[in-house]
Order: sequence, then C-alpha cells, then structure tokens
Amino acid sequence: MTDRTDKPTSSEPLLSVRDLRTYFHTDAGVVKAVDGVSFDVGPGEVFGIVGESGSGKSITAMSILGLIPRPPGKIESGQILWKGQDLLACTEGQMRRIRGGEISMTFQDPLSALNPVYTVGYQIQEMVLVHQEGSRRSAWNRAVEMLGQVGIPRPAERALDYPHQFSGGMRQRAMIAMALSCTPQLIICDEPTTALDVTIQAQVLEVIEKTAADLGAAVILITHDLGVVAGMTDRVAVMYGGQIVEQGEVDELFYRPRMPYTWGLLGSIPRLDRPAHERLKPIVGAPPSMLRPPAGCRFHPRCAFACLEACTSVGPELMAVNADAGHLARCHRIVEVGWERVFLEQQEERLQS
Amino acid sequence: MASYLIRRLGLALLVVWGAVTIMFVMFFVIPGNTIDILSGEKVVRPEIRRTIEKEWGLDKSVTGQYVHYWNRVLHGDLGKSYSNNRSVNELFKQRAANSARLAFWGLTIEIVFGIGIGVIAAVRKYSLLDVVTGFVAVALAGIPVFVLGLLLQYGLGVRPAQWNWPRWARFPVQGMGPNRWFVVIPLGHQWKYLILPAIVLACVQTGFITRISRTSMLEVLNADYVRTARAKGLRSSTVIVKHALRNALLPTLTVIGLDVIGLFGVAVLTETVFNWPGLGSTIRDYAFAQDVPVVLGLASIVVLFGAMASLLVDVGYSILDPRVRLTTEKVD
Amino acid sequence: MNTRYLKALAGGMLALAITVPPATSAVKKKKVTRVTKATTTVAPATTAIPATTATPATTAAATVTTAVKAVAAGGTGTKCNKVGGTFIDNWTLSTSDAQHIDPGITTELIGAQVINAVWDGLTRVDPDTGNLLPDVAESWSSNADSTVWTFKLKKGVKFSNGEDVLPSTFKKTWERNVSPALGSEYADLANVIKGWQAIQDGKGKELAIVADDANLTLTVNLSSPYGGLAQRVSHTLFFPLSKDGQIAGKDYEKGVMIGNGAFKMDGPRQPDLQTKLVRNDSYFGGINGHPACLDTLVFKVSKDPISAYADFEAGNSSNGVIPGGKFAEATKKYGDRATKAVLSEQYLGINWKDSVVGGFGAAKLRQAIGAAIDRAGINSIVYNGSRKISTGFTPPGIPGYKAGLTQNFQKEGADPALAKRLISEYAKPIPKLTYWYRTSSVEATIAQLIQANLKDVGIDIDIQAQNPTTYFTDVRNKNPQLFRSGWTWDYSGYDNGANQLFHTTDDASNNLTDFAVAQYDQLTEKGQAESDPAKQAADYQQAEAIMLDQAVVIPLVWGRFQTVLSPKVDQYPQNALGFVDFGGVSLK
Repeated sequence: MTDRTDKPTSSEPLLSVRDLRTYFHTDAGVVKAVDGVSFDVGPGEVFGIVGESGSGKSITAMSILGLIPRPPGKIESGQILWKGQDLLACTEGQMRRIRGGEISMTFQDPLSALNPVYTVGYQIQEMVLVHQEGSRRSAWNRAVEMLGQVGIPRPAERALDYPHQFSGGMRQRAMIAMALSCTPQLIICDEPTTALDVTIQAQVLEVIEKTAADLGAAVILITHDLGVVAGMTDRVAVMYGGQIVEQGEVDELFYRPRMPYTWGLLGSIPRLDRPAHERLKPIVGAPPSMLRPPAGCRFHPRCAFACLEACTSVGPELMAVNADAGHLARCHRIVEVGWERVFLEQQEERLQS
Repeated sequence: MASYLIRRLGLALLVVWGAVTIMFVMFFVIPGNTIDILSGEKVVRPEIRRTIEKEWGLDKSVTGQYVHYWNRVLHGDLGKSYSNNRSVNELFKQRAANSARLAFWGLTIEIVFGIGIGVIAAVRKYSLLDVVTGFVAVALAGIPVFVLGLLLQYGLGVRPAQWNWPRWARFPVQGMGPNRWFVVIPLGHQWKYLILPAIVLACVQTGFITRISRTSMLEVLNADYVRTARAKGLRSSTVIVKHALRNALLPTLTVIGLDVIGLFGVAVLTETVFNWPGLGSTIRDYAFAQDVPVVLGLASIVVLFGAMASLLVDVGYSILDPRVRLTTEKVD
Repeated sequence: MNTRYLKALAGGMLALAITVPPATSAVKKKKVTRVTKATTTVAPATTAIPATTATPATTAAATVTTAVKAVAAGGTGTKCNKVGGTFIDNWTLSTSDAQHIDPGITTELIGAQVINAVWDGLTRVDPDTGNLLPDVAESWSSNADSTVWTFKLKKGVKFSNGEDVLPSTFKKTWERNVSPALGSEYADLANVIKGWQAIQDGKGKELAIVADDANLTLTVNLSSPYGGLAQRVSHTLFFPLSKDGQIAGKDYEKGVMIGNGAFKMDGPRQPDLQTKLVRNDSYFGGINGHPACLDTLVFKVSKDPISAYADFEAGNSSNGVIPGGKFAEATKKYGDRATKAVLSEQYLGINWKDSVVGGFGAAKLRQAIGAAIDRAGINSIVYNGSRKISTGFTPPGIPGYKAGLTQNFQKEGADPALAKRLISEYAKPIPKLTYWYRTSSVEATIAQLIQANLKDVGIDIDIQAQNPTTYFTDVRNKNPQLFRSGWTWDYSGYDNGANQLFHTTDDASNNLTDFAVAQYDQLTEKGQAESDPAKQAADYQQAEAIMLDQAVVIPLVWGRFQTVLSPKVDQYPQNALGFVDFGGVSLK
C-alpha cells in the first residue's frame, strides 16, 4: 500500500503511520492484528480511531509506543514516523524517552492499568522523575498539580491514596493526569470512557479535551463509541479487521459515510434527534476471525450490500472519496453512481418504520 | 490492625494449646509404659517404681498430669528429659539457635534463588534457561532430602577428600564445625559447614517457589499496569522489579509462609543427615525414645513459631498489598 | 541399650538398614545382677586368669588367694609406636550421644566407652585376651568362701587434678553411686556388698568396706559369697570419683569431671556434638604402663549411620561404623582389622513352658525347627555375610569356649530331610505356631526367611511384629511360642551367658525361654563353684550342651564388629565386649 491518497491536515504531520503491519505469531497461526494501516496526526489535532473490539485499534496504538509483547507479537513492516523520525528504528533507550515524555497513553480499565500496590501520586511522580529534571519533591508537587488539573478534589490528599480507593471516573482522570504530567505532544487515549457511566464519560472527555488543548497536545482517541468521536475529534478512522475501512474529517464521515460498516456503526448508536422508541440496528454477525480473515472484503460476510463477485474474492483498496475532506473508504461499490444515496435512503427507511 | 494482631495472636495460642493437648493425649495412647522406658526395661522393684512415678508425677491421673504440665509450662518450665535428665529449657536454648540459623539460610537460599530463578525464567520465557531451570526445579522437588544430602556429601565432601582436592574445595559432611557466628552470619570457616545443609534444606522448596514465582510473574508481566509502567518510559529493569515483581511476590509469599512451617519437617531430616544439632533432629531422637517431656516441650515451641510465622506472613502480605487491610472484618 | 536401639531404629529409617555399634541389633543389653545363692562356697572366678606374676599367698592357708602384680611398663600392654595426634572417634557415638557419662549413672556401652577413657577402675579386661588385668589395684584376694575381698592399690595413682586415688576414694564413690538420692539404675550391681540393702532402705549410709589409706588396702565385706567381685569392679559403677564427684548429684556430668584415666576432659561435654578429651599427663599408666599415645581423643556424635560413614570416608574421622549392606565394600576398601568377633549371640528362642513346643516331649519338634532353619541364608541375606554362624550359644572369646556344641541336628544351611524325619518321630499334629519379633526391617526379613524355611518342612508359623519399646517385657510376660532375641555378654565370663540365661532361678528375669531343667541348673552351679578352670569349663560346656540339645534356643549367628579404621590408625586394642582401650590407641 504505497498509494498516499490521504491528505494531512497540516503541512507537517506530527505522527505519520505508514502501512503498519503488526502480526501475532501464535501456535494456531499468524494473527494479522494490524494489516496495513496508514494515517497522519497533525500537531494539536484530535484524531479518532473507531472500531469494534478486536479490530486492531489498540494494537495500532501499542505499536506506536513499541509496547507490543514479543513474542508473540511483531511489527512486520511499515513505518511510524514521529516528527520525521522512524520509531521502529529507534533504540530501546530512545523509545523510553519518547514513551511518556513525548507520546503518552492512557489505557482502558484504569483499575487494572494502575499498579495496585503503589499510591496514585507515587505512580505519577515516578513518571515525572524519569522524564524531567528535578527533585522527588518537585515531581510529587507536579503529580498533585496534575491531579488537581484533571479535577480531582483535594489532590494533595488523594495523591496518597491507592488506586482501589479511587472511583472509576477518578481513576480515569488519574490516568489522564499521569499521561499529561510530562507535557507530551501526543496523548493516546485508549477507550477512556468504557465502563464509565454517561455523565462521568462526558466529564472525562471534557478533561481530555481541555487539558490536551491547554498543553497543545495532539490526541488519538481510540473508542468503539462513535458518539464520543463525533463531539471531540477533527478526523476519524474506522477500523475493521485490522484495516482502516473509512477515514476522513469527522463531519464528512458522519454525514456522508460510504462504507457499509460505518453505516452499521452509525445505525447502532442512539441519537437524540430520533424518536426514543426507535430501535437501534445492530450490525448482524460477529467480527471476523483475525486468524483466518474472510477472503475478499473482510466485511463481506456481514455486509448487506456485498453483491459483487469482487466482494468475496478481491480485497478492496482504500480509495479517495472526497479529497478535500481527506475522505477515504474501502469498498468495491463506492464507484457506483448514487452509492452515497443508498445510506441516506436507508436512514429514511428507518425513520418511517 | 492492632485488634487484628491480638486476635491472630490469640488464635496462634489456641493452635499451640490444641497441638500440645493432642500430643499429650497421643503419648498416653501409644503403647509403652513410661516406667519401662525410664528404667531401660530392667525389672523394677515396686519401691523404685513408686519413687520414679512420684518423681515424674506419673502417680497422678491423666488430667492431673495435664494440669500439672500446664502449670509448669506457664511458669516457664518445660520439664526435663526422661532418658537423660536434661532440662528441656536448656535443650531448647542449646538447639534453637542452631536450627534458627540453618533455617534462616535455608529460607534465604530458597527465597533468593527460588524467586530469582523464577523471575528470570518468566522474563526469558521459553529460553534455554527457562527450560533447564524448570526441569531442575521439578527434579529437586522430587529427590528425597536424605538422598540429596548424601549425594552432596559424597560429591563435595567424600570424593574431593579421596581424590586429594585442595582443602578449600572440600566440604565437611557432618556437624556444625566451629560454631562461630555473628547473629546469623557465619564467621571464618563456619560457612563451609553451613552451606550443604542449608542447600539441602532449601532445595525442595526452591523448586516449588521457582515454579510459583515464574507462573505469577508471567501473569503479572501481562498485567495492564506493567504495560502502563512501560508506557511511562520506565526502564525494563524498573518495570520488572518495581512493578511486576512486587505484585508477583504476593502469591509467592503465601507459599513461603506455609513453607516456614513445612520447613521444619525437612529440617528434621536435614539436621539428621548432616548431624546438625538443631531442634528437628533433637525432637526426632527423643521421639524415638518416647521421651515425652522433651518432645512435648520442644514441639509446642515449634508449633508456636509456626503460628507466629503464618501471622508474620499475613502482616507481610498487608505491607506488600495495600488492598489487604488487617482488620477484624477481614479475618473471615 | 534400649534407647540406643530405638535411636538405631530411627537411624535405620534414614539409612534403610540398621546398624548398631558395637552390639548387634536385637541384642538385649542389661547388666546382670544375679548372684548364685544356692552355693555356699564359691571359688573366686579370678582363678581363671593367667596372672603374669603371682605373688605367694600371705594370708592363712585356708584363704584362696590370687594376687596379680601390676604389669610393668613395657609388659603386656600396648606400646606406642608413635606418640601424639588426634583420634576422632565416630564409632562409639555414631547413632546418638550417650545418655550419661557419669560413671555412677551410665547404663550404656557407649557411655561406658567414654568413661573408660577418663577413668581407670580397680581392674580392667584385657583387650587382647579377655582376661582380667589389675588396673588401679595391684593385687586382690578373697577369703575361702568369697565373702571378704581385699584389694591392694597401686601407689601414686592420682586424679588429673593431682588428688590421690586412695581406698577411701573408692569407698566414698561407691556409697555415692548406690545412694537412692542419685537413683542410679545400676546401683544393683553393688548389691553383694554388705550395707547395700540398708542404704536402699534408707537405714544406713555406709557400705561395709574398710578403707585403709595408709596401707592402700580396700577390704570389701559381702553379704553373700560371690566369686566374681574382681570382674564386677571393672564396671564403670566402681570407678573412683574425685572429691567433688563423691558428693555430686545427677548434674555432675554437666561440668568437667575429674578422672584418673589416660585422658581428661578438655571442658564440659557438648551434648549431641562431641566430647573432647586430652591426654592426662599425670596418668599412672593403667594396664599399658604408659600415658596415652594420643594427644587428643574426640568422641564425635552422629545421628545417621550412613552419613557418619560418609564423614569417615571424607577422612574426617579415625574410625567409623560400616552401615548395613556395605560390609563387603568397606572391608575391601579399609581392611577388616577392626571387624573381629564381638561377644554376642543372635538366637531363636522357644518357650519351654508352652503346651505345644515346650517340655521334654516336644524336643524333636524343637530340633526339627533347628534343622529346618537356613542360618547360612540368614547370614548372607540379612547380614551381608558379615557374621559368623554360631556353632553353639557361647561365642569364641569367652574363656572356656568350645566349638561345635550345636548338636547334630543343626548345620550351617537347612537340612529339610532331617527336619522332616524329626517331625515324623515327633509324631503329633503341629498347630500353627506364633513367632514374635521386635519391629525392624532386619527382624522382619529374618522372620520371613524362617517362616519360609519352616514351611518347607510343613510347619506353619504366624509371624508377629511387636512394639520395640516394650518387646522384652512383653516376651517375659506373654510367653510367645517362638521369639527372636539376642544376648551381648556384659563381661567375658561363661556364666554371664549360658548359665545365667537359662537357670531356673534367674532372678533378673533374663530367662526368656523359661527353661527349667534340674540337670542344667546343677551343672552350672557346679561350674560356678569350681576352682579349676578346665573343670569349670567342662561343667559349663556340658550344661550348655544339654540346653542346646533340648533346643530351647536355636543359635543363629555370632556378632562381629562393623568397624572401619582409617589407614592412619596404628594400634586399636579392642576387647571382645566392645571396649576400645583408648590409652593404647596410636596413630601412624
């Protein structure tokens, strides 16, 4: 996949992922968890990656930070250019400086992602000490400051608490505080709102948005929740079966989606502008086995529109739909005249039913 | 915490009381007339028999003897030996330190090597080292203590002597040697006498701890917080020692805690094979001689120590894992 | 001995085989206190001793006197080819420490071994010949009916602290040792001395002994005639204690005890570790006529025979015990110079009073059992071929021993044809017989072998393992038809074995077979009263032959020391009772 059809939003991307392939070599065979993913993230940009679990979005994020457990995982090919420097060619020492210092990450399920045997403050302090000059005391102060910034009340006291003494939302805030404590240029948030109730979700997202904006950091927001993406991101990539199946500016993608999988995702989220009794339409079928992905388009077994012969035999390329909005989609049928209207017709149908 | 400790201490004392009572009853149940044992099976004239009975309080009923025993024990007197008249208190004083030193080093070897090898095997999973240590661990856990002891004695003591190896390459096979210590640190040549029995004492459990710590380490290395730690840019050594190991130690600590008690059983054999004058071999000797006061006295102290050890493990657990709070609610 | 046995059992659990030094595993060890009361005149048994130099009798003609002069330096004793060095003994205490090393209290051979290195008594058994030698005593004599004994002490015998060893020393020591306050289990050994009973009853404090320190004579008055007093005072109970020892209680052995022997204690004994002795430079010479050859003598305590042997193999000790099953290998490697015969006998006992196997009527049945047992098989399977198959009860080494007393019905191997013939002559139905043994792996093997042997000739036996702790009491009280036992001689006298074990009026209850035959009793009594050694031996042999012919015991094997010696050891005098004369031990 050398075709550079996507368009960076600014002149020089902060992060440029080029044709990333991360495979897992298991006893059962090779799992192609990330199979040719390319995208750019500009400075200060909020980039969303959306997909079901197992679509490869978290593996993509972990590949960027070099956190793929190996064995069995291995980055087979591709480039991850961070400010022009290929992270895959970096030494472990260089990577350590980048991790946390330039690119940081928050993980889903902060209860298990925070070490249960150390205080929250200590875990932030420890990170500050690695990346910044200064005493233990100043690092501790920084930790308290960050906890305050993400909206934790009485941060000086709470810093002495252990993770199990925090509530779910507080833990996620603490993770964010930790991730931002060393003023990174990019923060990857992996499912920051999963397992939080809706009001807390909104607060956490706000914290991410606000603090990242304050620091001028770019954000990669990984989620399975299109709703989260819609309100926050500049651009979105939809992943399915280890590949990006649709990518573009957020409005373009939401209002003019071309890929049936994206349609499915949009149909499965509740919307305030629709009647409350309206039934959500889940995507039928199960995510593909990454050990033996379907031939042809990976979505075709679940796709209501897979009527072409090519759908079952030839893997579609990511093609430009609207170059101005950086809109790319991976479907054999997007070349069809009036294809874009199929989605809209469907939406109408739903409204009338 | 304080109330928890008091409760646990009470429980420990209850265990000791129960153990002593059971042993007391058992010694009355097993065949063998105490007088016969005391008199070396000589035909005893009735007047001598009465004197002996009176001297040892055997003329009282079982309950009377039981009450009498506790009365003495609570006054700090564990009694004296039937067979050689030695005071049990004195025997304890002479033997306990020897056992404690051996046990200390046995445990140290067990913990350092068990956890060390386990961690390395987990970090270098499926490497040659992992495979070899895995095999050795299983083998060590399977070899009977006295066979291992004799193998070491012949391999490092007898053969080197017969082949005239230099003095430093030979190890003594029996006894405690010069008995020179700074608390538990062997001084001078003392370490040569210590090392083989300590290794034997540690071996069985080292294998076990290696496997346990490898397993829990592997589990922990896949834990989210270890990934977080790496994402924070920490050195991998920091990640392994600070974040992974401390969590991996928790299940290992439980095993070690149980082992402190199990160690005593191994110590009986080890001390015998190496002629190490500790509590284990002493209890064994006197048990075979059906010397009730010595066995009862020393064994109850061992039980007490065992109970204390398990209490210590609980306290250690709470230090290692803040999620465990030593509160009375948590006991059950 | 019983406790020792138990410890050996414990060792056996580790060692997979049982080795009990120096005696054999199932041997019952008990000092015999029987005094023949039936005889009115008893000739002193000392007549059996070939004296090196006999002085003419000085007392009345009616008094039978045997006086023996001290062996001069360079006389019969062991000479030192080399003086100096350290001997580390890992044989004596190779399964456990001695319970006591106080001469007045000890009941064990192993304790006595240590004591014999630190103290010298009036007399001592010659390690080479088994005869009695003068030690602190220069000579001794008794009156005609052996009721008054006079010991003349050597001049200048001193304790290691410089204190003199005088007749009064012995008197006071003996009074201490027999006092109920001390509670010595072996106080009975002195029960022949007048005054003993009064002391036991709390009515007196003194023994009827006249101690003339000026003339160095010790006159002992007995309550009944006893000819063996000179042998008996070679026992540890009669060793002299220094002044502080004479008044000491049970705790004496916790400190440094003062002796008059070839060695002295270097410091308090370290229980369960070792007892270290050094040469006593003020030693009067004892039976060897010179101070100890060794500088230092260490009795090392072991708990497990196999690892104790490993210690020997590593060159850390001068002698050691051969663990079970290693006899051939060890003697090949280290030679067999320390594996000579020990005065012990392993036998199968048959109850004389039993309605089936007892009495004269069942002689053929008992003989058939004797003929059926394959003793050579037992020796090779159980003892690794290390023992000598008995040709009688009394072993070689006992003065008066005669080879081949076992009657025609008993051969080394089994003779099933003869056994069957004897059974047919017995001509009665044989019910299933009960066989007892003291629980141990060795004993279980012997039991199974005997069971198989007897089955071959049509005798069924039920083998029953018994509690080792109370075994002998149980045998005594419950009279099993067949039982395994053994005997280790306490001193090298014929009477200690055969006649004391099978005499009707055995008041020490050692007659486990309940053998009661008047002819046997008469012969042994006659032998005890006999002054001519040859005639005495003939009487004893005749008595033993009667007992063996009645087959109340089926002798199996005689014991043998299972000792290895380091090549560095030069001389190692050891008598057949097991005592090593450490004063004569030397290194190359």
